[in-house]
Amino acid sequence: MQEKQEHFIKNIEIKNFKCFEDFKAEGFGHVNLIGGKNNVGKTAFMEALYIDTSSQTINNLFFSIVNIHRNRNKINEERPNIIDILTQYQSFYISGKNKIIYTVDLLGIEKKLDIKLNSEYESINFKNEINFIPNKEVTFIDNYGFTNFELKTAFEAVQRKDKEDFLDKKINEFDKNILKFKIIGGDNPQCQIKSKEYRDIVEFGDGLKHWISIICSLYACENSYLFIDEIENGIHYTQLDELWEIILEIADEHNVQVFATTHSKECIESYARVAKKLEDEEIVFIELGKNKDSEIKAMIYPYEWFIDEIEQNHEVRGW
Amino acid sequence: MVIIVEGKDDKNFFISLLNDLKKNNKIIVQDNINFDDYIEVMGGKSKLLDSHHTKYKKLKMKIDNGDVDKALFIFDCDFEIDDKNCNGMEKSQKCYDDLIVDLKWNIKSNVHIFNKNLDYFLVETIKTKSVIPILIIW
Repeated sequence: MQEKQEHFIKNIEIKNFKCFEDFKAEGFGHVNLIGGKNNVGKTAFMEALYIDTSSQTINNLFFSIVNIHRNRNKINEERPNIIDILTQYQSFYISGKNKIIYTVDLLGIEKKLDIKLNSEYESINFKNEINFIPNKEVTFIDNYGFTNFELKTAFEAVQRKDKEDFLDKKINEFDKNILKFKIIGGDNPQCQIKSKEYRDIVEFGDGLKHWISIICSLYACENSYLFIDEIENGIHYTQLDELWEIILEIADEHNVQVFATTHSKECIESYARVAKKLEDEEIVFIELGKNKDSEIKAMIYPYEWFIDEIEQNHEVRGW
Repeated sequence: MVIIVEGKDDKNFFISLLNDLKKNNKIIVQDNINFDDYIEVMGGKSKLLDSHHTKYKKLKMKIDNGDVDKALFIFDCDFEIDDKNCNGMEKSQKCYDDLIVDLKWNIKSNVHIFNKNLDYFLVETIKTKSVIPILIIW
């Protein structure tokens, strides 16, 4: 069995990736909430972490790059050009759990990729088929939410661990009118209401699907990583303490390292309140901001500093 | 910037003062400014003058990342004649000077040390109706 927290990413170095020119951050915890102003790079920071933690092989690396592109363009793009996606970066460097040196060569007759992943090296000229292999244990919940297929896949982990009753209990706590959650007829997520009738999940608010996606993903990401963009999306502030209790407890129980972004002060205060209640001193708050030279910087608040900031009513949502 | 004070009472006093000055248009401040955000409560004079206090590590992180670019220390000198290391105006100033050297911050720092303590200062201010000295210093 894997040692507790053995796989956790503790630090990251990012160069030339999206808005990050030369960036370092260290001191991550088992659950990490990220705050910062608009366009400071909260999602890009999680994407770099996602690429790093997903990339056990070069094929995983390809999948993660395509996946973050797809997450950002779910609405606008029908058939993305894979070569365009893979060559959108001239070059970047990400080093955390893995060390990735990604270089696009545009000077030759044909586009070429040079990739170094730890000790593995590959040069790709796009003449041959590229294999995209997901690292299924690493999950990214973007702010558009899961597709039905993604939710079905995450729910399978709940079924494998016989946690359906727990999930139903937590769904019922979210909305007293809902009794059960099931995947019916292939990949059709449905909820049973008090009249015993099953209804498609799209008939309920977005918050319910987000709530279920997070709980299922915590089980699906055992001994791995879960990334949640805009965690408070669609969830009423009175439910936030319950959400954080679920996350802190399941993440600890199943050895999941969680990263989440938020803009919400209520969500940040709830995170502090629940961490204090559960005496979970391994949580971390990450504040992203820019210095006077417009370079992105991270302030990492371990438990004690974070609680102190909240108790003093200090602003931690960027500077 | 950050105003570094000893305790919660000091913080509450300065926030009341700043709100009052704002209300009476003595200072111009944006409506969305939260004064709490600019005040760091250290938990007592001995902690305020201890460069190893964990809160100074947190403040150093904020300085290094460009969140804090000025610091104002405000504390009481307590009693003028006392055998404790940092009591009295002279010893308090010496302890502050040592603190600034130990902190090695590369930002502008200033200090106001209350003669005796905050209560004494308030009584004296009422008596003389004088202008608040911290504003002159800052």
